[in-house]
Formats: sequence, structure tokens, C-alpha cells
Amino acid sequence: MYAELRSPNIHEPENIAAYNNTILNYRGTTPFLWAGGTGIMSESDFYPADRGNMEIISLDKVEELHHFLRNDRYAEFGAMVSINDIAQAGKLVLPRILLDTIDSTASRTVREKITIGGSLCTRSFKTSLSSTLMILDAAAEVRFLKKRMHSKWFQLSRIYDKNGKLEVPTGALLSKVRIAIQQYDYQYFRKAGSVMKDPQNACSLALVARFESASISYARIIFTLHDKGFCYSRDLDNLITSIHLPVGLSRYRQIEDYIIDYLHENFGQIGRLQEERVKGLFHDMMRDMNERALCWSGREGERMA
Amino acid sequence: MRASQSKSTKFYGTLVVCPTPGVRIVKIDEPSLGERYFTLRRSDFPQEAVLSICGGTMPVLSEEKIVYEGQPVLALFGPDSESVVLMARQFALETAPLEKEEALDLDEGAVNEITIGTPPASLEGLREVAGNIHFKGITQPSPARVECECWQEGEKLHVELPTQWPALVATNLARILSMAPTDVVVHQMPCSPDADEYLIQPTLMAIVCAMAALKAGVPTVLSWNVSSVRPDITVTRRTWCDDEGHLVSEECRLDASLGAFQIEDEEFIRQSMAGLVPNYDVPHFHAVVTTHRSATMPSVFHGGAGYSQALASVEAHATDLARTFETPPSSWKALHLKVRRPFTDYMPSVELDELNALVDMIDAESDFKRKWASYSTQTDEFSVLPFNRGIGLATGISIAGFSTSYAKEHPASAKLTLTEKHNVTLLTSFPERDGWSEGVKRAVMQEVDLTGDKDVIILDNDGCQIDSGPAILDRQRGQFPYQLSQACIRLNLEGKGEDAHLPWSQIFNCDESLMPCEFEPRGMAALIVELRLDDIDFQPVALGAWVAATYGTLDDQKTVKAQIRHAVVRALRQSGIALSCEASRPFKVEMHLSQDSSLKASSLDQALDALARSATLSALRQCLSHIEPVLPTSPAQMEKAVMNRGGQE
Amino acid sequence: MRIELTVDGKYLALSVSSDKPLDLLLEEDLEIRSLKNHCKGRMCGNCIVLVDGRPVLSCLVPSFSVRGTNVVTYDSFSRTRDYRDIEKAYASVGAYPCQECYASRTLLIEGIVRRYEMAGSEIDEEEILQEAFLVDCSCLDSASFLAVVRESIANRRKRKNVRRA
Repeated sequence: MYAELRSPNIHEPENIAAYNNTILNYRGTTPFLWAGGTGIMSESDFYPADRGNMEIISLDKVEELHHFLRNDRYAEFGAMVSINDIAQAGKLVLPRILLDTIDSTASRTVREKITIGGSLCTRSFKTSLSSTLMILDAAAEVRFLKKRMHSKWFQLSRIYDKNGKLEVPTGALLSKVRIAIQQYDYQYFRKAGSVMKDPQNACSLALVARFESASISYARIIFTLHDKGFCYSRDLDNLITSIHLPVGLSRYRQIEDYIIDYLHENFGQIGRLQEERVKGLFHDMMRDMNERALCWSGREGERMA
Repeated sequence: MRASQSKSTKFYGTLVVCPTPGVRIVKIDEPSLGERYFTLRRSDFPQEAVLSICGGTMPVLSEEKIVYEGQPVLALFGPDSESVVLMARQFALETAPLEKEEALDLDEGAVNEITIGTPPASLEGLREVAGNIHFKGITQPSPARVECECWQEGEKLHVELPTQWPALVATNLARILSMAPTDVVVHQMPCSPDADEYLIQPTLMAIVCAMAALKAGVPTVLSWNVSSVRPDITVTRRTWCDDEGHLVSEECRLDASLGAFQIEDEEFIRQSMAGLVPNYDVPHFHAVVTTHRSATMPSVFHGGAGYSQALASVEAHATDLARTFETPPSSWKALHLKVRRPFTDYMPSVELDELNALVDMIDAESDFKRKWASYSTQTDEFSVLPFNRGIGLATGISIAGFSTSYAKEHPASAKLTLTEKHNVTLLTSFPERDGWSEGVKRAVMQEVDLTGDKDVIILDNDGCQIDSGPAILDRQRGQFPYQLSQACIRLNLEGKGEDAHLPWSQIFNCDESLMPCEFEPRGMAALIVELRLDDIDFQPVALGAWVAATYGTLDDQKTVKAQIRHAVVRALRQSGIALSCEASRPFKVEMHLSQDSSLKASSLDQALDALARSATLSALRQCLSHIEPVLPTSPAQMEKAVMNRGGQE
Repeated sequence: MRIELTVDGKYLALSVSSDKPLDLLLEEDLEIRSLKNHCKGRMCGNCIVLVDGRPVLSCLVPSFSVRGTNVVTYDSFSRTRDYRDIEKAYASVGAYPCQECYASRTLLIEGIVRRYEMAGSEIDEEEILQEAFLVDCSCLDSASFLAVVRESIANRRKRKNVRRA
């Protein structure tokens, strides 16, 4: 009885043109875009729920969203490519930090169900994958309806607000993700706590850097507070970029204070455990960098990798 | 067995519960229900709907007095389970605080005490070592969906549900619905409980579901997510020692909050008393156990009724004493272990030197002494490196099953039958767990000497109200095999005789009700846990565990090892410890088993649970000497202790 | 919504809500007894089934997405020769999952074995140990799980090689 009365309508377009038609047919409503579904289905009270009039557009059969393209400069993935497939396909070419981020996400059985598009568009928490892709300067193709269907490429960092909320037009489809194939002298990713079981206390840190002698010439750093948003700013990047390794205690404290102030400014009160975990991650990364710098200082001309 | 009606002829139900304890329901805002739904309230029952369980009582549905979190207020039935859940979400409960005299009396409970030896003339000049341990009370929702179905066939009321107490369900139904007990047929569904989730709540569901079936005159199905509730227990100990480290006197106090209703507090006290008596040599020992009420579901049977927590407190305190005198716990135990545990009403006198032998078996293998010394330096004020490792040791005796007093009051039984075709059937309500039925089959095969194509069949107690008791206290591996073996001997003598009439059956008691003490020792074990603390996410990670254990019989080592592994891993995880998954060193439980024929039956679950918890706490205190002694641990607790350590250095 | 799929070798056409999780569909509509948990996506790991040969957490799979697929639950898998490879591995390692997670754990191991059953493919222990924690149950330690998987893979490779020979 429930099945007949309240079952959402499912649309399964087989290509982008059919998807566009479906969207145009339901103009005025907000169809629900369904990628892998792991995030949506783990929301509390997902089922049963009153979705009698809901239109669900399943993206699983849209052929273009499963494409994978690679050239010398970048790799491009359709939104429905699973993150496990990305790791497999890009093992040799993608930046190590991206592979580490994917490896840290659940186990392979679950990774096979998580799509890159879905993990960039989660509603109830922010994923580490989004933040790692942001510092890798990844871009996303967004398709949206504005009288007619449009598509436009955006830097990932521009489609989220400071709280990690997607800022794309309602009903927009994030159809492709493009990741530049470039290498860095130093890459660090680590997470603390469980995103699924305890998002209020979980966080992660991702950083990519390049060196010139013992100085950092280029750095992108991002903290993810999975329940709150991203800690990401040009000022913070610049603070790290000006570092000469090994970092002394006062400089280290200065940057740490900046990070904590930034978190409080943007997210208000954060829990003590989450704050200590942020500090711990930063400390671990700086220690690792310093260790590498000390090893490297004896071998002139050799790059830290 | 299940009603053959199609889904469209059944009503599906759920319970509407009150999330706040200590209130009464002033008003219930019902959505417009229509004719396809109906509610069941307390007033629908012909008489007071009170669940009677182990001498205690608790209401089935309540509006006037909500004393625990999540207490059922009413039941809603409708055409399908999804619609009912959606409709139930629309009920709004308006509440008001209970008057003081109506509210739960948190002091209500029971007290008991024990004294061994003579108190010293004076404690003056003696060194006092104080310690405490807190086992947090936790309500753990089970992911299993529990479903109860009721239907009528003529005069008979059929109830199908997962329960460990089919006879209790039947008795309660018959009393509340004013039916003859023979008219209630309970069909027991398979379940494999890890805690006490299949004891009280399914019985409550059966009563609601059956009443709804009678009210609507059609089959009903009630679904609910059940929970297991751990009691909140605090144990404090104070030991007085002389300058040379000899123990002179010890005082101990155990306070337990066991939930909103008094259900077998006495059994909890008996088990706690058995566990609190230390195995180390202290001339005078005095302990007080007090139970209290709390605003949770009753939690009397979770993972044993107090023994494991009491034993864990003894062992954690032994490590504190060893640390006070700067001796590795293994050496301290060797010095201070009693030759014999003194006879008490709770446990007979037991030779204890085996415990040291067990420690020796794993001490060297785990490199305990070296690691203890090495990890101890991290709390030293001269330590520079941020070591975050710890190792802990615990030893103890196990008990199994209920006490003699309890077994006399609430007999539990099973039925052994030699059929006309010379097969043997065993009728029991014990749920299958860790390959139990295979072990029992083998044992009966051996005892009864079945040959040829004859078989042992374990019946799932369908429709026959025999209660073999909750599996939680692990009787099937403790006392039950002994009783079963006695029943088999009788079957050989009487059932196989020339003049025997087949089928020959015997209902036998699962408990030994004639023991001189409340409990018998059921094996001994020593356990070491090594762990490290991740200094970024503040999560303790177990690197390895070593277990040495003595059993009465060891027929099937693989099954016993699987049981030990399960008990240790479960206790670690319930203590908030993650298991190492590094490919270079995945978490492993190393085991050494030995046999002691003087133990007629064995079950080490209770002891292993206690030892894993206390060894974990001892190891954590080696990492972080300022850690609050609370189990299960949490990353926030670790973080606090790490910060305190920083402040001390 | 009408859904056609194959479950345990039987072709079925069902009328269910399109967003109903697969575990509830199997449990409530098909009364498959090896599934009895519904953690609502909280990763208890006790609802694993094979969909087109791959293990999935069925509480995270909506009914509409299994249209036309082949779903294998423990009920039918336990009657296959593939199951014997895993059963033998439990026995030889001496590590048995508890009754609560036996079905899920076994199907998870089957999924892993299928990834590595081709002789010569290198076993990624880190990946397997990550999988060990997908089933949130206390009955096996990490090392035993790894040993059972290794043994199962060896059994499968041996059986397949014998068959080829």
C-alpha cells in the first residue's frame, strides 16, 4: 500500500540530452539528483519518508557521466565514476595526496559505491575529497537550467562557500571534474576521527607544496571540519609559502594561532577535541616537513619528495 | 508456523515513546488517523498491564508516569509498517514534570556487605593506596530489527518473536490477557544476542502486539528497535599497606545504577560480591555493594550481572598497587597472590597458584616485563620523547550462570528425549551462539553413544514453553554441559532399558541448585593487552592481546579459541579501543590453553571480559597516568589526559 | 514501483516503494532470513549481499537501482561451491564469525576473493584489513580475518586451477 501511495518517481536518463529533457519537463519543481546514494541513504530517517510527489533523477545510466579522459595536462572524470575507479585508473599519474585521500575513505566495498560527483555534493557533512581537490585546483563542470540548459566550468574552490555549502543554482548538476596532472615536492594528507560516526569531532588536513632550496615557494593548505566547513584562505597559503625550513617554534606558534583564530572566526565555537585534533594534524605535518628538511639539507640540490 | 494470511490482512504497528524521563503525559496530540489506523493505550488492557519479570515488575504502556528515557506511551497500528512509522512521527506528546513524591526514588535499591578477616587495630602510620573505576552506563541500540507477530487460531493465541524467555512471555500474556496459559503458544525465532536486548523488550512487545491482535481481531505485527542497557557502576577501593609493601587492610564500595525498576538487584549483588573479593593477600577485606535506580531501561543482565565489572576493579587496583611500589604487575602478583582464595558464601575456597603459572605462560611471549619498564619511563619526569604505549596484565577466576539462590527461585530447564526411532532431541530456548549447538550435539553423541544413522536434533523450542534461561550469563558453556551430561547418563540407564517406553523424555534443570556456595569457579585466565595511543586523533589502538587459560575440558580447541577471541575483542571494543589494522602488525589474540580436570565445566567469558577491561585500563594508565579511570574510554577523555600530562611535564 | 530482478536465482517482479532500501526489500518483501539488521546506513555492516557479483551494503542501495540486477544473499550462496572455499578457510584458520555477522562476513570475503582469485594478482593486505572493519562485529580480530581471506583465496585459486587442469 505504502509502495503504491508514496513511491517517488524515478527517471533514468541514458545521456545528457535525455537528462536535459527531463529537467526541462520538470521545470518549476526541484528534482532530486541521485548519484551513488551512499550519503543520502545514511541520513537519519531516510526511509520511510513522505516523498510521494518527489521526482528522483538517477544519474547512473547517463553515459557521459561515466567517462574518463586523460591527457598530459589533466584527467577528467564524469561525476558518476566511483572514487575507487579513480584511484585504480589514476594510480600512476594522479597526485599522491588524492590517492591517499581516497584510500582513507571507508573501505573498498563502500568506495566502489561512492561517486566523485556525489562526494562533492554531500548535504550533511563535508568530505575530505572535496578539500583535497580544492587545493589541487580541480575544476568542475556545472550544468544548470536558466531558461535553457547551460554548462560552465568552475574552480572547485569557487563553488563552495566558507561553510562548505555548495553555491550552485538549485537543481544544477555537477557533471565532470577535471584534475590537473602535476606533481609537488611535498604532499600531506591525514584525517583524525570518524566522519560517519562522529563528524562533530572529525577533521582532516591536506597540503601540497613546492620548495626552492629550504624555502617553501608554493603551498596550498586546507583543513576540513567535516561538520562545519573548510578552513582555506590565500592568507594561510601565503603564511606557509613564506616558511624557511626547518620551522622554529615561534613561527610555528604564529601559524597555529592564525589557524585557530581563523577557525573561531569562521565557525564560531568549535569543540575542544576537534580543535586539539586540528593542532595535532598541523603539528604532525610541520614535524614531518622539518624532518624532511633536515634530511635534505645535507644533500644539496636534491629535492624533497 | 507463521500466520498464512496475506500482508493486506495484517495490521502493522510501532511504539510511540516518550524521550524525556521524570514526566507525565498531559496531552497527546494525535494526527487524524482515519479508519485504517488504531491506537492501543494503557486503558485498552482488561487489567493493569504490568510486565512481571524475575520478581520485579514494570509497566507495559504508561502515560501517568514516565520514568525512563524512551518509555512506551502507546502503540499505533496501521496498514503497513512504513505508513505507521510516518504517522507515529506526527504524534506530539505534551508533558509536565512529575511531582516529587511520584518521581523515581534514586536511592531505592538493595545493599549488602561482606567482611573477610579481622580489621587491624589501627590504620595509623600505614600508607593508603586509593583507586576507583567507573563503568559508564550506556544504552546501545541494536541494529537488529525486532519483529513480533501475533495471530489467533481458534482459542489459541500464537506469538512469534525472538526471545530467550518463551515461558516468561507466555506467562505474562496469559496473566494480562486473562487467558489459560495453555492457550498461548510462543514460537521462538532465532536470535544471537550480544547483550540483553532479547530479554525484557521483546516480552513487552509481545504483550502490546497480542492485545492489538485481540482488539482488531486480525493478525498484527509490531516492529521496534530494541536496545541493550549497561548498568552504571562505580567501584572505589582503599588499601592500607606497611612500609615494606605488605597489604594490611582493604575497603571497597561498589555503587550500581540498574535502571528504573528493581528487577533482580539481589542477583546483581551476589555476582558483584563474588567478583570483588581480591586474589591478592590482604588480611582484612570489607566490601559494600549498593544498587540504585536510574532513568534507563532495567539493565540487570548485561554481559553478566556485575561479576566482570567487580573482577575488573580488583585487577585494575592490583596494578595500581604494583605501580605504587614500582614493581611490574607480574612480579607483584607473584609476591602477593594468596595461596587459597578464602571460602565465602559466594565462592568456595580455590587454589590460586595456577594463576601465576598462567601469567608465566604469557609473560615471556609478550615481553611484558621489558615493555612495562620501558613504557613506564614515559610518565617519568625526565622523559622527553612522547611515548604513547602501554601494556596491562590481569588475572582471575571465572564464574558462569546464575547463583544458587537465583536458580532455586527461577528454575530454568531443557528437555532431552529419546525418540521412537532412537534419535535424541534436545528442546531448549538457548539461542545459538559461537557454534554452541555443534558442541552440544557432539557431547550428546558421545554420552549417549549413538551409532549408525542416529542423530541428535536440537529443537528450537517452537511452541513449547521451556525456558533454559538467558544466554547472557553463558550458562551453556558453563554449567549446562554438566547438567546435560547427567541427563544423558539417566537417558542411558532408563531410556535404553529393555522395558523402557519410547519416546522417553526428561526435563532437566539447567542449573545446579545444590551448590554449597552461590557460584563455582569455572576456569582461570591471565590476559595481557598492549596498546598505543594515537596522539593526533586521541584514539587508543590495541596492538595485541595474549591469553593463557585453564579449562575443565578441551574437546574442541578451535571452537574454544574462537570463543576466547570473541570475548576479548568484544570487551576491548566495548571499552572504546580500536584494533590495529596495520598490515605490518594487525591486532591478534595469542592463546595458550591448558586443561584442569578438577574443573568439571568451564566458561571463561565473564573472566575474559573483566580481564580485558582491567588490562586495558592499566595499559591506558601507563600511557597517560592522569587519565580518568572511566570505561568505555572516549577520545575526549584521552585528549583531556594528554593535556594534563603536558601540564605536569 | 514495479521492480524486476533476480534474487538467489529466482526471477521476481515486485511492487515496492522505489526508495526502499534493498535490505528491507529482501527482509520484508522476500522474507530472507539471513538479513535481520537495518542500521539505516550507520555502517553496521551486517546487511551485505552480492549485487552482480560485488558485495554491497544493502541498506545503502535503493530498490530502484537494483532493477535488472542479480542479487545473491547468503541463503543461496551458502549452497554453492564458492562458499565451501570460505567455509574451509574458517575451519583451517580456526576463526569463525559469530552467528550475527556470519552471513555478511562470508559474502564480504567472497567479494574480496573474487578480486584476487586470478592466480598471480598481488594481495593488498592494507585494503583487506580496511575491509575487516566494514562488518562492525567483535567476533574476529584483524589478523584472523586476514588469515581467513588469504586461505579462502588460496582455496579458490587451487580449485580453479584443478578445474582448468
